[in-house]
Amino acid sequence: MEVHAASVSLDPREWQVGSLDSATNDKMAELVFERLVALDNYGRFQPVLATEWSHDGSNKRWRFTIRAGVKFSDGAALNPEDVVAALQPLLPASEQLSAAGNSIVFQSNAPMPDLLEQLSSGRYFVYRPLASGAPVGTGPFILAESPTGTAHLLFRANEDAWSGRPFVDAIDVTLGVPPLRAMFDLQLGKADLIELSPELVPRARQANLRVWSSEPVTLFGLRFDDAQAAASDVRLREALSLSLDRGTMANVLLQKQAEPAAALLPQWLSGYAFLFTVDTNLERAKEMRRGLPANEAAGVEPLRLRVDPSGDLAKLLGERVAVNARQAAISVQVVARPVPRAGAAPSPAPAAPPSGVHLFAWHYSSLSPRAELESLFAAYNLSEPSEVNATSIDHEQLYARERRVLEGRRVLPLVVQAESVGLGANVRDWMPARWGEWHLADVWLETPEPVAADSSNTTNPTSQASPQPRAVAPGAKP
Amino acid sequence: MKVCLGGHRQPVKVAWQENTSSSSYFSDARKKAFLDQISACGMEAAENSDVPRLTVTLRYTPSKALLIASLTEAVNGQQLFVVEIPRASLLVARESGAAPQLREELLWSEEKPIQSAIGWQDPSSQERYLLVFSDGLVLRFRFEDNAWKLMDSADFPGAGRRSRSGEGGFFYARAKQRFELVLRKRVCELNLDGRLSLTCSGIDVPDRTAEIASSCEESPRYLVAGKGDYTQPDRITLGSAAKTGVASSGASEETYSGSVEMPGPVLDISVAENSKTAFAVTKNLSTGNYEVYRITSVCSD
Repeated sequence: MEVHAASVSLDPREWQVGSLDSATNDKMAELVFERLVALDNYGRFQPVLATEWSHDGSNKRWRFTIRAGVKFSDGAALNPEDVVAALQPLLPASEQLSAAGNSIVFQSNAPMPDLLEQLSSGRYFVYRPLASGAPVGTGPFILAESPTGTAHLLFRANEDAWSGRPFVDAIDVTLGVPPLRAMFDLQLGKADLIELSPELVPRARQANLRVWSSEPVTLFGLRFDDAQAAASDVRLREALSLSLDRGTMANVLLQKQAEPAAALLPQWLSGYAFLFTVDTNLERAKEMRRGLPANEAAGVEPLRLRVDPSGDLAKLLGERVAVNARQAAISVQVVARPVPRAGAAPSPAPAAPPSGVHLFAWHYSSLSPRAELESLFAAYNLSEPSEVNATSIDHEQLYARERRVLEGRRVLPLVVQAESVGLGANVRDWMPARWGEWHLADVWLETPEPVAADSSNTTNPTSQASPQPRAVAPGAKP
Repeated sequence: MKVCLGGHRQPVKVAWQENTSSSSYFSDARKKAFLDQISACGMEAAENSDVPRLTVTLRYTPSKALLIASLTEAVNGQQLFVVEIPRASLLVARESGAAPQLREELLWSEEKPIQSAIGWQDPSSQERYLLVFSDGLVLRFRFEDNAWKLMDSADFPGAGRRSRSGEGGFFYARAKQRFELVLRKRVCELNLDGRLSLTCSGIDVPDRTAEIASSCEESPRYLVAGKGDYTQPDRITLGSAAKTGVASSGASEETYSGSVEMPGPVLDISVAENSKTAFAVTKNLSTGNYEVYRITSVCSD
């Protein structure tokens, strides 16, 4: 898997929901911060920093009791006011948070039946900013070193974590390692965990490396805007959709580490995505194209497709879209995202011709299908009819909302991609959430049995299983 | 399940779309309940292939199970009906008349949080006792005059960090034939002769598996609890006799036989020395009190 983050931000207020950076941020934040609640793999909400919770009959008022005796890594006690200060900036204006005794209270004008799903995922970490601005948390690790300008982050075990000391003493994270080198590092034992780019997953498996893949957590899709007149024509958008061979994108370009997507939310998150279907029908696409004005998206000017995410994978997908479109006589020109030159003085970018289509990547971060769908709608200006009940988490309503947006074809899902991780043979108790949380605090490392110079020496059995600090390298840009 | 389409009776051909995750859910009893429900709502199951097809399938989200019924009609296109069920509630399945069933009895209730409880009966005097761990104190009660009366109490020494393996609670160490309090990776032996006291060490933490036996089966079964968040009433279920590992995501849910509804989330279960009785701590969502229940496995007719 490619990591597109040039850097990591541990301040959830800075995270851009849906961005690929947020996936890396989330994994690093999980080491040092905690949320109020967690959702386990069996659908049960588990207490974390909140020990119990309750709500009124309308789901508009929720009370969470904050766990007593919890301390931040700088020694300060966690109190309900800290939780309010951390979470309120992340909430919509309609939701108010207040401290009351040893509890916090969420109050909203609209029902919040999916509040637990929201609070157990995404940016909803509890932290406290120090005077320097750096946030501290209550989690199992402490960020010990993050030298400016380097690609290393060093996390040390939080000896006083209320949840118990993690098994490993430290985690050394290296950013920006080229994927192939990361895989070699894993094979050579220089790294214990790496993020695997999709094209390397089959190779890693052939090399008998341990590979774990999450549920599909990143959506690649196309979105249209009115910067080019051709993109405003729903018939052209439909013809383009019919020309797309999503199966090849998922199976060949992404080496079966992705699935063709007909919906905006993946099946594991919405439960209803299987109801959406999308077929490749080149003949129908050609027929529709023939019915369009001859000068539209073919002759005078091509439909410009801007690839918004960085990295080779997104570029390849964009080029595949152009190839498919050409087969339906739709001219698509791929426009790469401008990359600023290192060290270059900022200067006004030359005026690029407007693009009518964007290839985007969206990382799912919320365990609430409603919240995720709304974030996506908001990010890409996917407007809904005004009569829509936007607060309903009823899955019939969600399905109807998603269907209406997809029928407008302002957005075309392409594929949903899983995250893959390569694991060292010595990694034990790897128990991630299937939506991608790593849970590194529960992992320990088995050290190899030392080679005894004297065969009569016995090995202390406890030393074989003792946790040791090792490195974790979350992959990199190619 | 509720599916209502309108006033007129409409024949539909019901198709159960089963996969590995739903095969144990769509039992004959549940199918019949579903058909009764749609009948009450104006739809009537028919075998005629000309009638609209109602496809029923079970799908999961991270926190919910969705019963999705989609009706395909020539006139109205596709109509969708979704019933949401907390995923954890599906851990209860397959009611079986031959299997042992659970019974619960309220023993104790208080406002202060209770962490664990366990009881026993003196074989010679037949007197009943109850140990309650609450607010850092171990309290010993005796049942007298139809009420639990406090005999004595002891402090739990030291308030270390919470253990990653769980908070723990009471445990009957069969090999040592004594009660222990397992908490925060410490094991405290309960000295019940004379005044209640605790002797703690930090090693040899036992596995507090909640196995319960009944007279109608040879093998003990597992008690499973806490299948829900703290805002929902919970249930204690009698699991299968075979040991099962951690199920992988998307795997079929385990099946269980008897269950008892509890008035709130189940916080702890301890099994008594006779292995036939367990003691469950629950937070009653109606009253806000913490309650101790005795759970027994009985043989159904």
